[in-house]
Amino acid sequence: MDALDGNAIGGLLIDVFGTEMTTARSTCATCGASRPVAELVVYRQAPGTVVRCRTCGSVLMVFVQAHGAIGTDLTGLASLSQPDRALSRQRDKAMARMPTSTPTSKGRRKCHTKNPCPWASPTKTPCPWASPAKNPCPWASPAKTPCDATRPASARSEIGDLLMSLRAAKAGGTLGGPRRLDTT
Amino acid sequence: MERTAVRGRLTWQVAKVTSVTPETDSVVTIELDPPDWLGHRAGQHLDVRLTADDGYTAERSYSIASAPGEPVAITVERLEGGEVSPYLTEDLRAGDELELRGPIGGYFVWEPGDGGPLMLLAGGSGVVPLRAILRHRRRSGSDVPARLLYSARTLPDVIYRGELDQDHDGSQVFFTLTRSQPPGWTGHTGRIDQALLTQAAWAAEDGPLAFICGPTSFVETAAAGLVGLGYPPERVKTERFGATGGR
Repeated sequence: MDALDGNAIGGLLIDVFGTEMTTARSTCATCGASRPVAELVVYRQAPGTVVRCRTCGSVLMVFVQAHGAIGTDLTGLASLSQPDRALSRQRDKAMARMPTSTPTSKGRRKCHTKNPCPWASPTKTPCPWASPAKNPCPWASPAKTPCDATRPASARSEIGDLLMSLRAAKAGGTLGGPRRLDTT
Repeated sequence: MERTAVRGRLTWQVAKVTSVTPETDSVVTIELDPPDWLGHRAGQHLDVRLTADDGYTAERSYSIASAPGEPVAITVERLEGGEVSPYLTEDLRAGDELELRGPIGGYFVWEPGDGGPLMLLAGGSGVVPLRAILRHRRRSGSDVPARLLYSARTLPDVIYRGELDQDHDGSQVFFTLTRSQPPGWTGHTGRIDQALLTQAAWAAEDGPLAFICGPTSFVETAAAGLVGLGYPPERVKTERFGATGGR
């Protein structure tokens, strides 16, 4: 049985991920080898589609199609990231020519509830971005991730203390106007 | 139904077949007119889906044979006992409809800005996406030097022979015939090996960009050979095809 490569499952991956993924970079959870999906080893004759690491042979992804649904197992991957958005750009250009509706704030809120901030509950580690209405959740905007877990303990306690006092002030109605939280 | 599911998402569509042109005894080029085509890049492929009366479906991927800007075309080789290719090569006629989605793939593609020199290695019908790259190179006026080393069983099995023979605007085409050669054949013979690659491929010092497409064993041999010549692995792009799911 001849093995193919990731180019052969470009269409299947669009079904699963909704975008071009053969240029996405995969990292094997077993050996750590990293390469574009297009270079992975693909077996299509199996009961499903099996994708293996070209370095160590571990199973990275399995797709099983039945009755119009696709079962997906990605547990062999440590990561999968798509830096090349060429095809998406191609489609985006075409979409720009079509009439499109602007995302509403309602839509954005819905998105946020799908990816709740891990620090949203005050009973967990307090986080300066805990209020999604005012400040974006670190998951929603990875560029701004001043999150407790990545900060030194001293900074954490400072931020935590500030936040707790802010919350207490808010709860007690002693906080008038908006105040700037200086986390530097 | 599916096309309306998510706007902008690549979905299946029904294309009209505008022409079916024989290339060899077992290979045809099918030109298509998909109603919703965003344009393709040289080296991409598309998926074709056939649906039987009882609802059974079979999908196959075929490399796009035409350059960006040209009408969409695929080149299909008939595989004996195949499920899809006998229909496409023998029964399909101009005016018929074919369900497809594409273009697909962003890895095995070449743009003039990617540079070269280009080293293209084709095994059998693996020449199809490489022909699209050569045509794109010519149509875009690129001055990137290009070489194609094309391995076929016999001379009548060579696809696009007339076109490749004429292609001399800064590109070179080498044929190697693996099974039999016509009398007086002066080209290469036998499967691609290290000796042939040393002879026909650009030197690694020229900074070539390689694209290899063919059956799995061909691609493995050719890729290992180029890396053996000093080509950086990240400059050697590969695409393998097999009896199912292949081109």
